[in-house]
Amino acid sequence: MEIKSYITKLLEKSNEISIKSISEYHNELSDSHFKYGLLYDFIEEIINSNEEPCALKNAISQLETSIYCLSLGLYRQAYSSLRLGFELALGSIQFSVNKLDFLEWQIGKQDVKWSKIIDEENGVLSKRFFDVFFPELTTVVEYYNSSAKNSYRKLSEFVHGNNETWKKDGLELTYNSNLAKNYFSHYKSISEILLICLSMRYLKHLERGNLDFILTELSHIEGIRLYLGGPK
Amino acid sequence: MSTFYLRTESIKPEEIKQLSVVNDQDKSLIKNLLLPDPCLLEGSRGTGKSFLLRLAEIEINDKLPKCVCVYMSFNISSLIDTSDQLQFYHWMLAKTLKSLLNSIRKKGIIINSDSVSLLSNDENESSDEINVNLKNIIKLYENSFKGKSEININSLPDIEDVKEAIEIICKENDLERIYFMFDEAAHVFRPEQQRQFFSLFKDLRSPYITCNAAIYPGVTYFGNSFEPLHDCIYLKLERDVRDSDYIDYFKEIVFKQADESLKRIIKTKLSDFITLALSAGGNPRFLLNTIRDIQTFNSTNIEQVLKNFYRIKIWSEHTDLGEKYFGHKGLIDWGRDFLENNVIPAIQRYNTTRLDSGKDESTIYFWVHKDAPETVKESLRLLTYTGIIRKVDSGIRATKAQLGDRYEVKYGCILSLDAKPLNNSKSFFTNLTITKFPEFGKNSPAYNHVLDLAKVINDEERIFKESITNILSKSIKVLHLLTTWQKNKLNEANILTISDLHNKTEADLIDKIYNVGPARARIMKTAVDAELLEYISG
Repeated sequence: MEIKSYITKLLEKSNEISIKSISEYHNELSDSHFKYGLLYDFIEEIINSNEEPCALKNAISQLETSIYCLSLGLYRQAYSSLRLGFELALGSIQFSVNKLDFLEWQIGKQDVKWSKIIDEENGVLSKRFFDVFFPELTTVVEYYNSSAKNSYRKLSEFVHGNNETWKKDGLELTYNSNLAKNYFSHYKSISEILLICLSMRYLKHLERGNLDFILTELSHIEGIRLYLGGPK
Repeated sequence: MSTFYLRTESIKPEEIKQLSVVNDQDKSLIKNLLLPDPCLLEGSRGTGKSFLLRLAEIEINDKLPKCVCVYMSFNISSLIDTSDQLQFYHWMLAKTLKSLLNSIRKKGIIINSDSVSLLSNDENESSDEINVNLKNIIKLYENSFKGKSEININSLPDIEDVKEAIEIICKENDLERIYFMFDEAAHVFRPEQQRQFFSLFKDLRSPYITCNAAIYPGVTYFGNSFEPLHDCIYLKLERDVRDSDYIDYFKEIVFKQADESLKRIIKTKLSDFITLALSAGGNPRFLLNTIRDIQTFNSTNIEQVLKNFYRIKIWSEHTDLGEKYFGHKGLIDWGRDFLENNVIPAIQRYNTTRLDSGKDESTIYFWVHKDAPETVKESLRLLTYTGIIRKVDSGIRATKAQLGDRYEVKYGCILSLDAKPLNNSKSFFTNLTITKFPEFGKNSPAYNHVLDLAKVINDEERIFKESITNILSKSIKVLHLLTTWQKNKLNEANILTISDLHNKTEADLIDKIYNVGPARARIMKTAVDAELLEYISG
């Protein structure tokens, strides 16, 4: 088989997978892209209010890429992009309070370090961070820290190619409903954690009237609901 | 440990269904909410209106693939202090359309074209005419109330343009209908804004749109253009303690949220649970609240919680209404006095007399003549908001065949006055009869100190502003979002009250105060907004 027809066959296969994915997971795909759009809008608001978005835009572009990979059947790549987007977005929030780290990252002297981000004492998802930016949310910090760790660990298994993941994913390009289902469940947790962290860090600096969607998405978090004028 | 959700807003949408308990009445209400006709769902605080609207939303999403449900709330509307009524109307329209845009994005009917980064702008641009159209309308409305500059109202799209845009969305996407669920529609007690809301509610009538809204009894103003009996299906969310499935229904609600150990305790102390459930008088939030307050499930604790909740807490909530609904404060206080000093003692006397004479009868009901002063009726209406009383029916004949309205006092409010409520609840409930009640005639002496309606009711905007003034005149010391340093800096700049701070722009603060830049100025302004919001949303 020559290279051209080989690639064409792969594209046909991916096309087949995307038809199946859209048919079985239309709602989940829609919801995921919608959540990505909300994160995008949030970042636009951050930029409009002259706050430093650091690498947030790059980060969440990876969420969109991950959705696309998933729809093609590139599950491992979808999981990897999702993890990259997640880590970089939280890393950006951390950079936003440490300009030196951010500048070093920009010139390639610094990496985004998950262990620093998730640190229970000083990380983005720590009481210390929440106390400064949105103390009303400190009651949920422990829950989201553990949820973030859990999601990151699960996604990392695919990034690092743990043995178990090869059994699930395989080598062949083929439709796998279970992996898709699992992906959407991670996507949901991750998008919620990102919305919470962005709200914690920036919400009080933004114009309230433009953030209706936050009240809709996070109304179950009392601190946010009350801040945005929702009922007690 | 059991976690009780006292508000639907605290529950994640995906958990609503597993926590739901749906009886025949609920099914019928949901069925009505799914009809093409607009519905108003009336219920006191905590009766489950939001929960029911959420269930209707789930039903639409699950079973009506050609329909879209837009769930939204207007509870921050009080912050919009527009110079004319039309601006508020436009503000609501912008919010409504924004929520619609999000709902159709969530369904994948259109995508957020701004966010598409994997396609170049050229490829993306032409694809979403609806998106662009709807977004333009929203932008125009937003500019009309955001900017202080004069906007020519005639240049704004009118309601027909909006309906047409919605119709196009439906036709192009093979959709049959858009349902709008307005929760907390009349949450804010600004009568003028409520009237504007119902005007919008009526204007949004179209073969492609159904509007449903949750409202409170007693504090809702419909305005002249909206007639609830003609313009919608008027639904009431009430649960009667005498319903045959009452106990099972409430037990299931609690069991859905209780942990195993609490379930076991409730099973062994079922009669105490029944007393708690009856005391709540059909209000799930009251029941969950009281159960949550019971540290250890023994008789002493239960009685203490019952007494504390139904003798004190529920009444203070009613009095608090006066702080928010400033124009009606006089009536709110009068209503409480009327209940506490006349109605409840009359019911107690009635029950004691029956008990002493060996009659197996008890009551939690009372009757008020249809021609009683309007002030009395208005005060009673206000008492239905907190659910201390409920209007059971109208046109009931009492002594000398006189006609009047029959009300029910919350079971817990009567029972908790008993020294041993748990011991006596069973016989009290068994003997409960709706046909026996103390009466308050046309000129009952209980109305002696009745207030002049014209003097105490004033639903004009001025009154709302007066109530806001109370808050505005407070010292900035009360702003808990500000640090002591920030407060001192403000004081040095002669910014002493919430009003002073509220009237300053961020630029003013930056100019006036050394060491305050954009970030601190925003924090200071945010603190004022938060305080005002907290006051308004209650």
